[in-house]
Amino acid sequence: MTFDQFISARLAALLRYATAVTGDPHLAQDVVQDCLVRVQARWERIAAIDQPEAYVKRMVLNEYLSVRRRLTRRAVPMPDDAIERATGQVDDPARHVAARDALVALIAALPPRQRAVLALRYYEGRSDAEIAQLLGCREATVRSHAARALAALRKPDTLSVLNGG
Amino acid sequence: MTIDDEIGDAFVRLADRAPDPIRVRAGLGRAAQMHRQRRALLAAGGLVVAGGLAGGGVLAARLVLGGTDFGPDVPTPGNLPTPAAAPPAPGNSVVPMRYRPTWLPDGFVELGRSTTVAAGLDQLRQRRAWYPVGTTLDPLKETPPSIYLDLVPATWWGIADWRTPVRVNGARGGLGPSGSTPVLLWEAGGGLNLAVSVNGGEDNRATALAIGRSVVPDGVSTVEVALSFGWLPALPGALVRYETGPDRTRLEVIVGQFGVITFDIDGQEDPGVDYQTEPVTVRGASGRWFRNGTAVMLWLTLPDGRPLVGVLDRVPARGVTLTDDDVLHIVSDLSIGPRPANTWIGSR
Repeated sequence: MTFDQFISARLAALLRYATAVTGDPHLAQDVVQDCLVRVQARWERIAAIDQPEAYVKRMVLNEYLSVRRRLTRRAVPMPDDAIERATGQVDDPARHVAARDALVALIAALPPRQRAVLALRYYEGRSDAEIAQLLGCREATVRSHAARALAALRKPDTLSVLNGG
Repeated sequence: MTIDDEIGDAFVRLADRAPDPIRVRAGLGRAAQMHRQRRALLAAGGLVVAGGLAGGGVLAARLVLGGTDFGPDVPTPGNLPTPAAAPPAPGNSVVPMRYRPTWLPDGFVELGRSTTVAAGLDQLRQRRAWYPVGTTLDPLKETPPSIYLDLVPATWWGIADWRTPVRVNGARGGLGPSGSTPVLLWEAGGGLNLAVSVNGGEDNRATALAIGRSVVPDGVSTVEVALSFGWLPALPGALVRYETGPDRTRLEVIVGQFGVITFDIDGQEDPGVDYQTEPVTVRGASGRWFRNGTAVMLWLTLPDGRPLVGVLDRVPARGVTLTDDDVLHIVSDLSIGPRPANTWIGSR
């Protein structure tokens, strides 16, 4: 597979993954683009790996969580309209929709590592052991990040509404 | 639906906001070219500067200070020359850089400067970047060796986020996180913070601190760009940003942290072969452009032969949509001056 074939087949999926992990489409674009420049320069070596896409996804994750990236790009993940919907007074049917949007907004507003852990668990379907390996930390740390993130998501106007509360 | 299902569903909806792959692929071509040019310049600059400093010998960039003994707040003795004022070319835009280090590890040369054109200090963001001379960047390294000096609003990065309290030039600061990419942050006054980040090496916190304690006000060094905007639509919350380096000069509009209208001049960029571009004539120059619902990309060769590349978001700010006519209006009204000399590139 050539680099162009890889990009043609997997770029959209990579961008979706990066958007889920970063919570921000602009940042996802920036991170994916930076990683693919490096991938392109070493494509022959990377293509020889069993799962090049997994390798690239790991690069995306590392790039996003690097301090250099955080200093360069301050994430402003929560769109104004989502905040307005999350805090606005709306009718019951709309309230459910608003709560769903609010949940997305809350996920986007999580600290980077917490959101990354949830994205890997719920979007990628990774186990805690796999997430620990990807993040270079212990499983207990993964569980701690996940617990904190889930606690942050349990706000009265979001999950309680989704549960019919 | 369970809570787990709801969260999974939310991530899918978040992923649905992913950017258009076409636009990303266009940017990839530009970024790859910039990367290759930077590598070429680093190799070439290495020959010139290493020859000047070390009699032709190989000069390895070293981050010499390590450990955790950060010492008293004493200014670091300088090892860099004082910058000389360089008058800009007629018609070019110039913004002074507010700070400079007087000490850097051996072998690092300056390759990039950027600044916002801010009406108030609270919107000022400046960066200077140094890389090792004679070193080819490894594309697979997450953090290639580099040193950044940033000036950012204090609301952006708070001292409280940093782990180890330190004093820097009499000001309150913090150092951290420990590890391979230390960042030193300290108060610059006026609602601004200064930051030094040292990427590469095992533990360069002491290096970051030594650089930080050598930083002094500048005002002589500048960012000079050959481009400035004439007409722009009203863009709430937008800032103009200049960036210059070895590969090109950039003029862009940023909203939040991200460029939404970007023009590069003096690079070497051609339309990507994958795009269905159409011919366009603007400013008396023939070129190509690609248009879809999310972005417009435009490649022009100016009458004097210089390349101009534009990438414009269709919706650069909330409630603003750029039509094709708007894009042409922006390009037509760009003010274009001569290529800056930028003699500082590749020097200490």
